[in-house]
Amino acid sequence: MPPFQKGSFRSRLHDEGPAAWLGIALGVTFTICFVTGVTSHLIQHTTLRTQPLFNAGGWSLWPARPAGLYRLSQGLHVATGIAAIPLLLVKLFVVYHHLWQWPPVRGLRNAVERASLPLLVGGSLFLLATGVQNIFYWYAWRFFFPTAHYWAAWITIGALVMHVFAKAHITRRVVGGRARRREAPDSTAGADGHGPLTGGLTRRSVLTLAGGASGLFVLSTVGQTVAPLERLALLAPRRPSIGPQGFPVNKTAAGAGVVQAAMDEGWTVKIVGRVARELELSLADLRALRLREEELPIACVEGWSASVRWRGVPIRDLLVMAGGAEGSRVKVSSLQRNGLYTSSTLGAAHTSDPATLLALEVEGEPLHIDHGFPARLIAPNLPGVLNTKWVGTVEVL
Amino acid sequence: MTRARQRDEPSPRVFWAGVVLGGAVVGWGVFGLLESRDVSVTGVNLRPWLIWFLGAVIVHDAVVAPLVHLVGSGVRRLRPVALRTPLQIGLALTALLVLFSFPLLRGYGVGTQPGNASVQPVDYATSLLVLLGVTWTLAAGLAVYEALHAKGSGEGSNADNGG
Repeated sequence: MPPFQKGSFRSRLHDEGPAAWLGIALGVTFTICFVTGVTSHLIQHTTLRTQPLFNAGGWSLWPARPAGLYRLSQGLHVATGIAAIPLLLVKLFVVYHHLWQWPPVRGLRNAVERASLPLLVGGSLFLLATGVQNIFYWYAWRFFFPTAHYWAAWITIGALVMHVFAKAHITRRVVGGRARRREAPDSTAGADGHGPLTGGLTRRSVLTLAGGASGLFVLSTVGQTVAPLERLALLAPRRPSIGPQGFPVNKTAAGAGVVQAAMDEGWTVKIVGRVARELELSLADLRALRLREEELPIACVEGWSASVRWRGVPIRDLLVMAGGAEGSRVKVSSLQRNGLYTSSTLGAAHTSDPATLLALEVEGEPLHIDHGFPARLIAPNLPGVLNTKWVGTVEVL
Repeated sequence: MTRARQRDEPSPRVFWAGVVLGGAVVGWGVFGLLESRDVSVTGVNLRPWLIWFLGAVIVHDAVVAPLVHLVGSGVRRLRPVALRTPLQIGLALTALLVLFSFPLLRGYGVGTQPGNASVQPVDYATSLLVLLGVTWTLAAGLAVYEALHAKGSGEGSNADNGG
């Protein structure tokens, strides 16, 4: 016995037209999310054992220019993910009746296709739910978010590839204007989908609803990275201008457990490793060097960013002073002892770029302790968390 | 192609190409997931991962979708007819906005960063009220438009023969 009688799902929205158009929109948003997400993951998580193919350090190909590339890429990742939320939920509504198809399986291909759907639906919901929770810093689970999100993305995108191939003929039919119309017993909508609005949402207006909701979601959050839209960022978890010295903080000094070490008047930064002479420089020593001013974005993996004026000593100059080889790789380590992001390894592209600074000041003031006082790394086109704060050591590799 | 369209199925070649290609990518994802399961800090505990992954499908398919269909079929029975589309739009946007902003309203995540005033710095209750205000103003405007439109075009009375 079928669980539902024929005609139980009466809404005319259960139709291949809206399903295909929403599918195209989701295909685009998920592809952008996937590409930007994998990129970000490979830059940030080079040393994880969970990166069997990429541990070789190929990520150091990541360029220093354009300076705002990561900001754009990660801003897109979060914005398209948020845009996909209404699209996915409306799509699932539109195709829900297929879940109850009777008989449940029609042949081998149908069986294989249906078996892949829990991966696609579960993966999509998982990615959007965990992604949103992560930008809110709400960790309601017992797994490491980046790794869990990353591998779920591969599974989901694989299931999406299967789905796209399995539905390509329908998409072609719909885009070509030859969509098959379901009977719509609850309305007198014309076969072209332009029925009287009086009967509730039409096939076309449900797309407007999904697109409009998607736009509203983006508009009310994207101001966390697009500064001119900041005042519209009603639901953004961050505002680019809110925080000490006018921009957000990812981890506070107290949270990192470095207050005492960072405020120590005897603080010095050590330049060690493959150098002709090791150096130990106090804050006064650093301030006496030729300082360089740069406007660079700080762009977090959570999708917020802010453009800020920094002032500090180019890492390149420190390399020269210590007699290190130009273009060396450099590991910048924090005073912070515990945590996953206590150091950052810069490739040649970054160490030879004069805008890669050991920054001492921001917006004309000494760094706030939550922004990394006494000195922090700031580099063009580098994820926020890799711009190590409270620097203690610069090791030439 | 014609036969495939008649049977409403993709051509076998296209379909199986997708299975092989997509299956390989899924396989890579599963391999990576299993590889990372024993890693201490940066790893994935499979049990909670599976609970979230499969739980999402079950919660959607068994709870959320039936509820939405139930409400939807209620709205489609409603009179006057001119209220149906505006209500559908208003309810859908309200549900989406509440779903998204719920953690912000509750301040989930603020505790992860004690003393960090730049985390969730907005008054999200006011934000939500503003967005819901805009939503329902639009919906009300649409209802008025539809009511006038329906009168002008002969009541649209044939649009309500079921739910």
